[in-house]
Formats: sequence, C-alpha cells, structure tokens
Amino acid sequence: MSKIEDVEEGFYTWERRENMVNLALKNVSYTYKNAPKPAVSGISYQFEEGRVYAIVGPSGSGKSTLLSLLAGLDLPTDGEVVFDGESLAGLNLDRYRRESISMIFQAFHLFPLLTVMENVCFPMELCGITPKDAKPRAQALLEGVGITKEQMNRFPSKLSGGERQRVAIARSLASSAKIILGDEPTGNLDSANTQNIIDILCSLAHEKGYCVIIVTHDLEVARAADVALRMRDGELREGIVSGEDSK
Amino acid sequence: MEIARGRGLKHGDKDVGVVELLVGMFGHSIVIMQSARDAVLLRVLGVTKKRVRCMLVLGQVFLCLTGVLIVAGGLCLYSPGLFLKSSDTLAACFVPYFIGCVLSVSIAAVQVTRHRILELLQVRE
Repeated sequence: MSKIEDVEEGFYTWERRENMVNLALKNVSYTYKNAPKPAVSGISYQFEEGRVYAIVGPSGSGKSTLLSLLAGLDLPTDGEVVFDGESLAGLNLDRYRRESISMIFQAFHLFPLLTVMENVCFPMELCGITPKDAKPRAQALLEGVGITKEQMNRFPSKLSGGERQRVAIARSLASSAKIILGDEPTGNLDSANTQNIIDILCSLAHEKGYCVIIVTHDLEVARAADVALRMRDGELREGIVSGEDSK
Repeated sequence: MEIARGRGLKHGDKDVGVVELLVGMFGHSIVIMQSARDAVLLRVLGVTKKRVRCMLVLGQVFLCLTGVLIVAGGLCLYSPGLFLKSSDTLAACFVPYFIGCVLSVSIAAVQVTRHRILELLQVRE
C-alpha cells in the first residue's frame, strides 16, 4: 500500500508536516442524558502525530463515545478536549470537524446518491475548493487507495465493502484534517480487506504523519496499532491487549 | 392533479385542496425523515445545522416544483385545450400542495437536525 505516498505530493504532504498534531483529553467525562453513570469517566491522554492508536474494549465501555468527543460531535460534560492548545469548547465545532478531523465508519457512510468521485470531492468543496480543482485531487486520492478510474464514476452501492471503505478513507484524506478517527472501520470487512485497510492507515500515520485513532473490537487491528488503549467501564488504560478486551 | 383532471373538479374545491395539502405534507416530510442518516453525516463532515436544513428543504422544494412542472407539461402536451380549461383546478391543487410541501419539509428538516449529533449517531446504531 505504498501507493499513498505517490498521491500526496505537494499540497497535502507539506501541509501536514508543517502542522503538528496536538490533541489531548484532560480529565474528560461524559454522561448521556438520563444515564445513571458516565459513559466516559475522568480520562486524560495525549495523542501524537505519526502514530496509530487502537482503542479496544467491550461493548458499552465508552470507546465510541470517547471517539465522538475527540471528533467534536459533542462536548464533554466534565473536563476538556484540547486541540492545538485550545479547548474544543472555545472553538467552532463545525469548523473543527470540517478542517481538523475526519472520520471513517464501520458502515462507510458514503452518500448513496453521489458517485464515488463526488463523494470524495464533497469535503473539499465544503472547504471552499472549486469543483474544478477538487476533481484531480480526488482522482489522485482514489487512485492512491486502489480505486480504478472506472469505479470512480460508479455509485457506492456498486462497490464491494472493502472498496467502499477505501473510498471512505480517500474522502477522509480529502479535507485538510490531520487526524483520522475510525469507528470500527474494519467491522464489516473480511480478513483480506481488513489487512488492506490497516496497511493504508498505518502507512498514512508512519509515512505521512497523520494521527490515526481507531475504535475496534478486532484484536488483529489492535495489535497492528502503535499504541493499544483499553477501555473498561468508561476508563482508559494503556497496555497489552488481550482477548478479554474485545468481549 | 391527476385526481383533479379525472374527476373534473372545479376551482376552489376545498376537499381537493385539503387532500393536496396532506399529500404534499406527508410525502415530502417522509423523504426528509428518511434522509436523517445523510443529515447526520453532513453534520459530521462539518456542515452547519442551518446549511443542512437549507439543503434538505431546497432539495424537496426543487423536487416538488419539478414534479408539478412535469405533470403540467405532460397535460399540456397531451391536450392543450384540456390544460387551459383545467388551469384553475390545477392552480387550486398546486398551491396547497406546494404550501404543504414547504411547511412539512421545514418542520421535518428542523426535527432531523435539532438533536445533538452524538444522540443522533446513537439512535442510528
């Protein structure tokens, strides 16, 4: 999966290297409305660029909630998420999501009525890039994740699961975001496609300096990450991942 | 409008107006409610709440107008005389239909975007 490096000549590469990732959790807690106890409880952690983090834990342990807080989908009920030295509470969250992070999901979440190419162009257009400029960049990104020119004009429903997830990764690279957040990105894929996606994400972190944070049940994904974090009962622990963590 | 032509209804018929209003409200709001997933995804991608609402409403209003124009154009091609004769009835059908569409999609667009994104994602799961 070294194709990525061919894609990100110029614009994307230097922009990421100029900007250091600085994402931290400071005593973060989150309690859902009417929930008896917090989903995330008093977590502090500092994420660094150029590394792949896997957050593993049983269902209901709060890992997806934590990822959502990092993505600025909501603010913590206690503590703060700090990006580039500023608390997310003081930032425009829409802009933060648009420009600073990108997400990939288990269910891909591509727009069904847009073609593959249009799906990848869309975040660039949100950032003010004209469709004329967006198209060649989108094409390069898609080629980088192994999508052929013919597939670029298809609708997502005509692609396999692995291909759709690669399109979702290309879309996540389309914005100027330095952080990629994956919510079970390999959850719907077979082992060959899982390995393919892991390779792409690792090469983005190690060769391009992205900070990749993945929530997963898959221990193989966790083992491939640079740092494995375990969540249990809303608390985060760094360390060796065992079979217990995926139950 | 098909109903209006078939039954030869007259201009100002309140029943037709009410039916058209309900059809406009129900049909288009259902489509918006089904677009909830796309609305969440747009919010995740950083599109503002206001812009998502505009996108949803304008999309449906465009569809509504396109549908009306196609039906009116089809009727005009099929029988220009009939089209002219029933233009009042057509207008009486179109106006409540359009109002129903705009009202309901506006409400539905607010409804699908008013919650916090995290809550919406939890619902989707």
